Amino acid sequence: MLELRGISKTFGPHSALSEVSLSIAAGEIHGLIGLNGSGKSTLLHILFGSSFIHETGGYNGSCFLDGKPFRFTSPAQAIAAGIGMVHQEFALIPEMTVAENILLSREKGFALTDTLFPRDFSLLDPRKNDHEARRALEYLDLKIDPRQKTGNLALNIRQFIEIAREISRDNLRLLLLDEPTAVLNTADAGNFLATLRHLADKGVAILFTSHRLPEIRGLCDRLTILREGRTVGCCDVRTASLGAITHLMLRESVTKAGRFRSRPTDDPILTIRDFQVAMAGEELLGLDLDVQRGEILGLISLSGHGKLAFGAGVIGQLPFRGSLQLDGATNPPSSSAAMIARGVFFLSEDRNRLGLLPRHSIMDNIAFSALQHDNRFLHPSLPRCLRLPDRRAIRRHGERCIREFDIRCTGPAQPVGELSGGNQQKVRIAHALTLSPRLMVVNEPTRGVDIAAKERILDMFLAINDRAGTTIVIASSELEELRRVCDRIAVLYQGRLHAILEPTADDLLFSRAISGKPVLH
Amino acid sequence: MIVRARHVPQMVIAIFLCAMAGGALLLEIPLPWVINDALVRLAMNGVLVLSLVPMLNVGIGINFGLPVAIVAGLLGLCLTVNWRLTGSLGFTMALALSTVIAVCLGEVYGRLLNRVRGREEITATFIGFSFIPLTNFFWATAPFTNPAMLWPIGGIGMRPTIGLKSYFAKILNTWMPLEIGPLTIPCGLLLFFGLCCLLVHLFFKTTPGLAILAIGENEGYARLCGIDVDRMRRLAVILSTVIGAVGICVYAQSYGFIELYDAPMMMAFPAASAILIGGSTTGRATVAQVVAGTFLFHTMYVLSGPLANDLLVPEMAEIFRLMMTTGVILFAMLHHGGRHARPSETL
Repeated sequence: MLELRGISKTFGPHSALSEVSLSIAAGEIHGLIGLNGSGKSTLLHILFGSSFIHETGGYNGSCFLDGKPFRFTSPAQAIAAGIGMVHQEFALIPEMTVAENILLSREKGFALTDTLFPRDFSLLDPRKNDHEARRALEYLDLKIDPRQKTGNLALNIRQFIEIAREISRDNLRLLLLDEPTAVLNTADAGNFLATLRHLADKGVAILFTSHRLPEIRGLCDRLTILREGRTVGCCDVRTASLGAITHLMLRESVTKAGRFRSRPTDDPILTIRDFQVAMAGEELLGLDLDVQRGEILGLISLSGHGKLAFGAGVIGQLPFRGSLQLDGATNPPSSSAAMIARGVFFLSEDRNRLGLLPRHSIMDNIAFSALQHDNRFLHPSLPRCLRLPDRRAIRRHGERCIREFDIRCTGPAQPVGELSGGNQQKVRIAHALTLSPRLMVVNEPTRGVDIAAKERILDMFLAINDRAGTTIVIASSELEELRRVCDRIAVLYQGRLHAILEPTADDLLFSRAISGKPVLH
Repeated sequence: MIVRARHVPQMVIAIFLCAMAGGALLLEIPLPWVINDALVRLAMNGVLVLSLVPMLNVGIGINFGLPVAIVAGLLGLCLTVNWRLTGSLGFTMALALSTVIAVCLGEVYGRLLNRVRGREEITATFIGFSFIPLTNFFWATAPFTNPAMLWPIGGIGMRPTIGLKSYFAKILNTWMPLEIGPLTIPCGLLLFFGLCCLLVHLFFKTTPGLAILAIGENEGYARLCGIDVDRMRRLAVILSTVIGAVGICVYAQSYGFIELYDAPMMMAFPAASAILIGGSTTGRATVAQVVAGTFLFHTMYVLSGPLANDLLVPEMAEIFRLMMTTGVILFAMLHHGGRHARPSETL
């Protein structure tokens, strides 16, 4: 049904795609995998006619839909041709209700006004629209009120609404999915994948990108592997082994980080009691937790159960209620500056908004907080009150971090905005480590990061914990990763501590705990 | 990674400037005079343009409230004249007094701007506009005693323009002039401007300077890194106000007059145009952009007068200047769109 021949795309001097070809039949689910920056998103955007593709000089190669060539220059044309796309960044309007978002530009009007006036002036029928939206939601097995405002909903629900919007279109023939499961937890993802299967059975072709290999293997019929903008393989899922696919993707094999030890100490660095943080969609409603000195503690919960609010509350990004004892000091002033002075550092999950200074160089980003707070890197031969930094020392430190953490870049002066997600994450961790914190809280460190970078990042945590004795709290929805690096894993449920489990505890116990069922120790 | 027409205004102005220079040659307008005037105007207006840099870099945007800074400078100048201090002592005193007043006014101005997150530019415009009638009231009733500043009849209230001839007019312009044939290069004035540029450039290398740049780029992140965002924004506003106050002192000594009442009202706009022509975007401005922008903008000013006088009706020069000034600001707003512009797409 869809065929691509020799697609090439360059952004200025960088080549994003070169000579990519692939074909999809009706009713086929086709997987597109590759590391960050291998050109997956670009390919989808080309198919969808996204405006920035056109603005940056278009692309070479030809696309055929049912044998007819096409070249869309705006998403509207793609939509008219029956192509739908679910974006990696949400394209929902927060001030509109769920129903309005789903039926945007396809609203149903009253029959009378439909006939009397042109379509654009017809009076909308809220009941018909509600009904239509409800049908789309039911299809996804989602029980929410379509009259709710979208902005108030949790991340994973919003993802579902985005999908509902695309699948509720009658003329949908090809669905493009850009990392749709990145923000979903395992249960939601499973549910979602079943829906896709169902959709494909009705004859819709689906092009699907994901980082999660097992997921792709479970769902797709065929898959295409991209590496640095080239097709390096196209195979039937049933015949290819996981190892072979990984090898094609990386060209190198991945050694997994991991540790199997446990240090039972009783010397809490941080004690919180009845800790409440009002984070929208992730409320903590009274958490009691001791974080032991020198441990790596995992925090896991379904989305919406509060694991992300812990770090935001501790560092003072959001106000908290309850008591917090840090190194013996009860309720110290709760602000980022005060907490950093006490050796606590927080890496937010919101890498795009609260992650980095994208236009600054790698070395400046790494040195930033140490320069601001610890007076490190100040020029040694100038009076300190001038507060002029020593550029050479900053560069040296940047170069050392790049070597040590294997940051893939052109040099310490490259702006971090040009790096891929995984490498940006490494820069963030290097930045935090430059402060030599005693306690680090990290939210979703591996979200949206390819598997090679993921292992490096987990390795970094183990190394700093080992060498500097840094206490680390990792809030993540990836149980597998937490089990590999943590000493203990705390399971949160509905904003409270539900259980603390050993990383070696079996899967069944974990899934019981995460879904809030009683756990016997 | 969107390719945009980045340097369109600079190119338009440069082409326009070349055309005007060609016209000037044809009409035999003396070139040394043009160069000399262009250099004087560069340094005379440059400090005012420079004053926009800290606020742009902290992410507040263009300081359309420049009249606040200018009034601080005017107060300093008036006090000096009132005490009949002349020569370099007078000018130094004017700078010192202006700085002190600018720090106080800047603190209040900064606090106001911290309360209107996201709408700073329009608020600043109206702070500037509403500050003018307030100061007009002050000028009309201020208890100054030097008769050179007061209305000759009645002896109460300040004159709209106060001549500085017997105080410190042209003190920088005539300091260390370098004569090369028919050219007179105002070395002292350029040196003073260069020093101001160097200080601002160095400030953005210090840790508070870097913190200000970081806030301009990603405020939420800077806050998470423990930067006191409100304090740093106030610091940037105070710096802008102080440099602006110094700027009007330089301007006044070069012009030879202090202009009171409504004169500061519109002074923010040419400065804003100049820095935008230099290629600064909302969120980042460098000293090099200030120098380039001021030079382009004011050389155009210098050339347009005699050209229009010779070729068209004399009024056209002023109309052209105004079209350029406001047109460039409008263009910059449309193209860069400030912080509300679509973020560059990352892939």
